[in-house]
Amino acid sequence: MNWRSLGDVLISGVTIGSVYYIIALGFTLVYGVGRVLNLAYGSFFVWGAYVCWALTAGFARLPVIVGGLIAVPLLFMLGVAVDRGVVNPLRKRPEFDFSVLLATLGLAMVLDNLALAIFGPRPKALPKFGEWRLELGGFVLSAQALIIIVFAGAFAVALALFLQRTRTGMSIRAVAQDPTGARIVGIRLNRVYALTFGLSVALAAAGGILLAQRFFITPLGGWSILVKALIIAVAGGMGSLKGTLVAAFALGMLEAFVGWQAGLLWVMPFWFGVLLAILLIRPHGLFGAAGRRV
Amino acid sequence: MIRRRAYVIAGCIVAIMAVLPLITGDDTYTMRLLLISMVWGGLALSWDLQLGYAGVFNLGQVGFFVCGAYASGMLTIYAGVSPWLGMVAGAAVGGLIAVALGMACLRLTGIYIALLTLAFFEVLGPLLTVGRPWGTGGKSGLLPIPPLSWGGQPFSVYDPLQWYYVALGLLIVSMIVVVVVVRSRIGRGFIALRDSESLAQALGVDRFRSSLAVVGISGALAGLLGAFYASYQGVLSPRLLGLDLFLFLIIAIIAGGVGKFPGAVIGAIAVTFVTDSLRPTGTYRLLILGVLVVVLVMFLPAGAMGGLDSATARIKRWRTRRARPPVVDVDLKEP
Repeated sequence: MNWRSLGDVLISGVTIGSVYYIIALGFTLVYGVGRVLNLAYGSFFVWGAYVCWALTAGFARLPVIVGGLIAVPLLFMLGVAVDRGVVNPLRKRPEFDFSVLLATLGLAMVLDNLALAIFGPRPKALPKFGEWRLELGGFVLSAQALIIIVFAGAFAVALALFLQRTRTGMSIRAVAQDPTGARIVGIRLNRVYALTFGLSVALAAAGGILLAQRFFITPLGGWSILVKALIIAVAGGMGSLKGTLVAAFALGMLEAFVGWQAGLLWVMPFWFGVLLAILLIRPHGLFGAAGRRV
Repeated sequence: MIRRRAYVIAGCIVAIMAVLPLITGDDTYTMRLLLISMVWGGLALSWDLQLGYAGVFNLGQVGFFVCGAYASGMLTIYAGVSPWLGMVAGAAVGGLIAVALGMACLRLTGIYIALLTLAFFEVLGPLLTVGRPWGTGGKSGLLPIPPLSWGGQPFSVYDPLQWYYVALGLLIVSMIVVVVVVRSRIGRGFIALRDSESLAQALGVDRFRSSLAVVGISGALAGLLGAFYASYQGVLSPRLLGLDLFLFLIIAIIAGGVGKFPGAVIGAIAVTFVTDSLRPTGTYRLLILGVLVVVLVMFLPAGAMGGLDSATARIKRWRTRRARPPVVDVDLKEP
């Protein structure tokens, strides 16, 4: 076994693991708070990358970090609008779970094909964050990998602080625990739902921009991300932040190793096998408790 | 629950489909469209049995269809089995895989089932692609799958008439299976669970076992249809597991009415022709279909059959109001 390539694989695993963490976080957040299973999640991921591409390489020639910092708030607003326009009207229905599944599925079709119509089927490459690299005792840490890890970490920490320390964050957690109770103490549910949906879309978009450093952007690229986000969320225990963290890094590492040894096509079968194994032993995921949310 | 009206509509669909070749028999294109709409109708019906009646959010139904298709295709190509036996094998494989997947996920709550079955659906394509050394044909596809035959004479590739009536037969089989399941002890158990979960469970309705039975039966139906599809097309590729068919069937089920027999069949036939007429719009076709899904879910959640129900209810109310003698409004208060 080649130790240098093993080091590369480890770095690669940590890099994708950190992005998977924020992606899965957005997915599990919106499910934990609003019981929304968002099948358009992968499409928002792709749109984040496309908006950033349009701002940098495509039309306006902004530096890529500025483009990203503009794209993420834009996608946040798109998320709020989608919640207000599509998801919220369904909330009163008795079969909300199922309706929202179908509505977001339709939305995913709309978003994907809109991207196809606007940006075309050719894969797009986002400009790199930087060309320099760090050499540490033979291991090479590229600028992209470092910046991906730093940004993903910053997002994760910012979200955790927001949820733990601010009043708005606390109201989000209150709604996750008990919507009726939260309403009694004067929290406006619709606002919290819209905010959470927007936050989740923003996390997906941030993940899309970060991963576009390593992969090309394609109109249908979001579906594998959706499946990965849900495998991570379920394997870690839906709504458990610690579980999501462990599952994201473990599965990111698995992906790097399987991709290295067997080829990228084997990644999904391996992920699925791990998921089945976890669920057979712990039906609510690694750190999930029965009936607990966020 | 299935109303008497639903049986009449189902009978009408079968009758119309049976005589349509007399009118369109020469038009091969329309015949093929009608034929495939019946296959999708059967598949949508079997899916709706889980989504609408059993409340199982299975998103992997197309996976069972593809498993049945590949099982039959590989058996007929490599083992030289007759395609008719291949259909039996397809049903068996579809049912077995459905039961295996069901055992893994049906003890969980609804959303987890949706996640796991979607993961199964997404993972099947890569598996079939890397399975090339084991004879799945890989990316380029599995071919040539032998056609069905009758009396030693294989069905014509150019004239779809024989295929058409086999597809009609399969549609009838799907309808009968769905009706029998819904009216059986299992189907009544699901109605009881929906009305009062705890009472039904106290009376001995086992959600897990009933769901497993429904998923197995509808997986077998999907496998059967898949095997027919394999033989009819003569070639299979993992592209079937793309989003097109998946979304197409979902739209068919919503448009027809979730859990409203035989809405899924009506939806499948309608959506087949709608998507075909949208063909000139090219890339915008799926965009239009997506908008259609969102609009349907938001404004017509009960689909065509549900719309029919509420329309007849409205007419009935209007009639009874008219039939009633006029109410004389007596004002008792003195001015």
